[in-house]
Amino acid sequence: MGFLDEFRAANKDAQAERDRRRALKAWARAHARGAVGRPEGNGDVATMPAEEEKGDRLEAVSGEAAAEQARKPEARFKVVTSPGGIAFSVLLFLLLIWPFALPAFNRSNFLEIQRILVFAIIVMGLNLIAGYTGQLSLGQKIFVLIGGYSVGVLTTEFQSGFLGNHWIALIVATLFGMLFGALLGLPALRVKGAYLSIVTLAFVPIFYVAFNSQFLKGIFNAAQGISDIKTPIGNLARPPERVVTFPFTSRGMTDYDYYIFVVIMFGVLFFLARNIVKSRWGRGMTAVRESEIAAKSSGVRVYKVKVNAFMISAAYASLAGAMLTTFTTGQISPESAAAVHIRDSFVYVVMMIIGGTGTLAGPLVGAASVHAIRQFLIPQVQEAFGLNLLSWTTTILAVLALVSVITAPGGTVGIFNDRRERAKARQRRKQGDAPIARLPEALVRPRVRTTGVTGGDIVMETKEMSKIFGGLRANDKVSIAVKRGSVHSLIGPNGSGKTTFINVVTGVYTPEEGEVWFGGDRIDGKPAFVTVEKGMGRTFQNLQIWRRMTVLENVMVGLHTRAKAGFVANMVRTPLARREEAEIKARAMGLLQFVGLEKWAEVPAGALPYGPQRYLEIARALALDPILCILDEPAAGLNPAEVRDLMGVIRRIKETGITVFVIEHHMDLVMGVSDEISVLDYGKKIAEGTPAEVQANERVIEAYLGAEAVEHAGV
Amino acid sequence: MERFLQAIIQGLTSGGVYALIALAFSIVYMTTRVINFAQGEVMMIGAYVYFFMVAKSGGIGVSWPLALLVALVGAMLVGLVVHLISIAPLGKFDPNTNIGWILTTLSVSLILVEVMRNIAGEQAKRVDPIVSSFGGKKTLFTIEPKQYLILIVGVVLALVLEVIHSKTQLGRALRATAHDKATASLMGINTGFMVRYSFALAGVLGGISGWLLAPVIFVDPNMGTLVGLTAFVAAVVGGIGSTRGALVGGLTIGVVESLARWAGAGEWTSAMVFLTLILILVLKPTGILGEALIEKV
Repeated sequence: MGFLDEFRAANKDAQAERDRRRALKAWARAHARGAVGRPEGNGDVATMPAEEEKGDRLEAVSGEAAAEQARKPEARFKVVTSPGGIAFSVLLFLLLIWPFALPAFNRSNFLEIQRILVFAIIVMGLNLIAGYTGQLSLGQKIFVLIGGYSVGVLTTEFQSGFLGNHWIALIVATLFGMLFGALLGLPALRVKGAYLSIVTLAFVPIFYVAFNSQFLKGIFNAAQGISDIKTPIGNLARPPERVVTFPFTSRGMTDYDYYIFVVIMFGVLFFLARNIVKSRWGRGMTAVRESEIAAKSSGVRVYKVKVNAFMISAAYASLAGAMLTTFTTGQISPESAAAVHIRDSFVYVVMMIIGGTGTLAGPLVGAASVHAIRQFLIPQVQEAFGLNLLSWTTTILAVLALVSVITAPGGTVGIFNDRRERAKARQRRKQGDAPIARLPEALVRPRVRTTGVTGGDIVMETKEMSKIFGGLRANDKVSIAVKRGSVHSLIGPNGSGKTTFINVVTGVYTPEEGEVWFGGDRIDGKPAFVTVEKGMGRTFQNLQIWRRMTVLENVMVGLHTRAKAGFVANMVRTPLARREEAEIKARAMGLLQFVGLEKWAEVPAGALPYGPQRYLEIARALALDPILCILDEPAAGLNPAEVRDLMGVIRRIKETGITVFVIEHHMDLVMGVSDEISVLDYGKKIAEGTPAEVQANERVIEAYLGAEAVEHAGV
Repeated sequence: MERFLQAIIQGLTSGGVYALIALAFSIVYMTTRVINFAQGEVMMIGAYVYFFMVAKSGGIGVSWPLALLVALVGAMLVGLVVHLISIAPLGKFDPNTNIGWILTTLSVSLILVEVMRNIAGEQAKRVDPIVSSFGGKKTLFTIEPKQYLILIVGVVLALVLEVIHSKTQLGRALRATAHDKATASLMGINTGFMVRYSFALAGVLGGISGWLLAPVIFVDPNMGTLVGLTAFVAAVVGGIGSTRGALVGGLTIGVVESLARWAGAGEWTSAMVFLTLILILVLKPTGILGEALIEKV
């Protein structure tokens, strides 16, 4: 009998889990079709919970509908509809046809456009690591040189071999760029700070020495460099005779063909960069930029994200360098001094800043405007006014950069974006809140994870744990066991070691003595992302939200570890990545609804009032499907009404089966929601028990009010 | 063996300059948490001012103490200007999440290089040393007196600053600002002044290094870049934000560089220095004497 019950219960759990998944998939599909969000949406979403029992039939119906959709061509090839997407498509189209359109085919103009596109590619890469991830590389020219030299060396050394093929050489050049990106990035990105800037800057002179060196003359041909690089372009000096040829033929290409290739590469690389930025990895990058500690505790592997972003940026620069060498001169040399390369690297940064750091369109805008200033404006003015402006080029660009950083940190594109944001905000104020789609119940409920959990009734336990800061015992042999499904509070006067306790448990600190167990595993000394992956979500006493991301995106970062699609999968948007992305969005909306923030989903998190910011952190922690949810002073700064609200939220979290661990000074809240309370004083646990037991405990009263109070009270 | 010892002493002497500039990096880092990418160029300006004051041809030709004084004041002003242009306009900012300061200080450094190149030309300038013999003998262990001067001035200045910063009220105010700006300002410390003081002091240290280096390497517009980067490595190796660390790091990097040259690294010498930076980032990112920062969350 007993085991049958158990079996039934387990079966029921599994069934509930299947239902939830189904609801989620249906929602995600509906969302992809654009049915959600409009009040007149086609209904099957709203009826979801009621239909749950007949889940299979619904699945079948939706499946058919989806198949029918897929038969229509426009459903299979999603048409670009965003204003940015349209503008970009038009731009690409114009770039491709303008040589036909102009009767007088001016070769030098055409080279300049190619240069701008190649600079834009370099800056797009730089923008990924600097604009989005917040790590500024000052030596991107290194990778441009690596790309150029790769093509030069390979095509001259292996004339007719496989590696001597220009297209293969381009690929190898990109890989070399990534390799050296990893070699520089791995040590430089290990620690927080500006080390990437220093290391990249310091290695510019080293690569200059390497390319210039007598020792490596056999490879790089020292100061002379490599000329007569075998390129697919027939004759560099001669203007193309015919405008249209079939590329990849043995006759070689005209430089127009190569121009087309560069335009296409630009389009592809732009698209890949955009995909990264819009994926969970892009959100992870921004999260790292805004607050590393919060990113870590949401399960983002900070180091990996930084290194990946830097390797991609190196790959972009190398590929661009390889193409630049091919279509401009067909030769490459180390130039006269390392300072030349430092200045070039600086120019890429200026392009990024002026175009718009951390924006998609910024790199192209910046590359075009800075190149125009450098190549046309300055020489024109010099000629017209007889000033010696050319020798002040760097100064002019540096002053532009200074002014831009100080007055418009978002650059040109940032100014437009701000204006658009303000218009949107005005519209919101005027029209009131947009109608919000009702989400299926299964999405709104936080989930406690059921897979890979062992350890019986005790979810988390510290055994005789001590954390010592320079001789001071912030935690002194603290043993606390948290029961599964309970609300457990930790209280104590200021400085009693409560937050230290949380930081040890979540893996921010390593304890000097004792053990920490979580879900049946010993976790002390493990990095923070391990505790997150095992199912520990937390909030912070001094809020750590990503202020420049939207409220929805904040929660979406919390779902980072719930997806499987990797960096490359998201870059090319595989079906898995797309499905996961839709699921993440659906789940995040559900969690926002759980804490009551859904109407603020699209608002930048920094614009939220204080109380809702606390709720946002709770939603983000719940996004991990946590076993244990740790709240560090969630009531700090809340008014009495908000505190009552918060108590309701904590109770509802508990109802879902998630264990809650609260640190709090607000006694009404602690006494109202806790099943068990532990008390710390001077790092030691002085009491433990139910709220009633703790309230009556003499040592607790003494710790809070002093020994005299105990006497007066006559306890 | 004798050559080896020579290399060590040689390294210690050039280490004196690295220590001074590393000290400048550290002091600015303490009050602002930024790395002043223009520090090497402040030194370069100091060297140029000294040259223009002291040179008989191409300069005014005053006596060296006066020239030194003018160079120090000039470098100090440049240090303050760097702060005024690149740090002050950014207002309150978190150096960890806002990378604008890297760009602004680097911009200023490139501007300084170009200004100097346009004023003084690419041509390297020669500066005579103030001492050229030890009572008749030209060298000691084949090392000239101008190099010993670097070591002596570098070590003495580093120690004096260490004493000032650990024993005086000014030093306590500086360290309080370094630890917690908000609390320091609540204690009545003018933290804005402390920041400007750190840039001014860094400028003076740059000026002294420029004066010490001018007779040893030629004065040219690009002289600051490599020296500045090397000194930065010294600051990280010693532990950035630590005055003692700057001295230890400076001397260490001087010796590493000199030994690399002695071992035949030739043009790859500075590569060895920067590999030391990589090594320290991998093995002990806080440097030899640096304290681990405990992040409050």
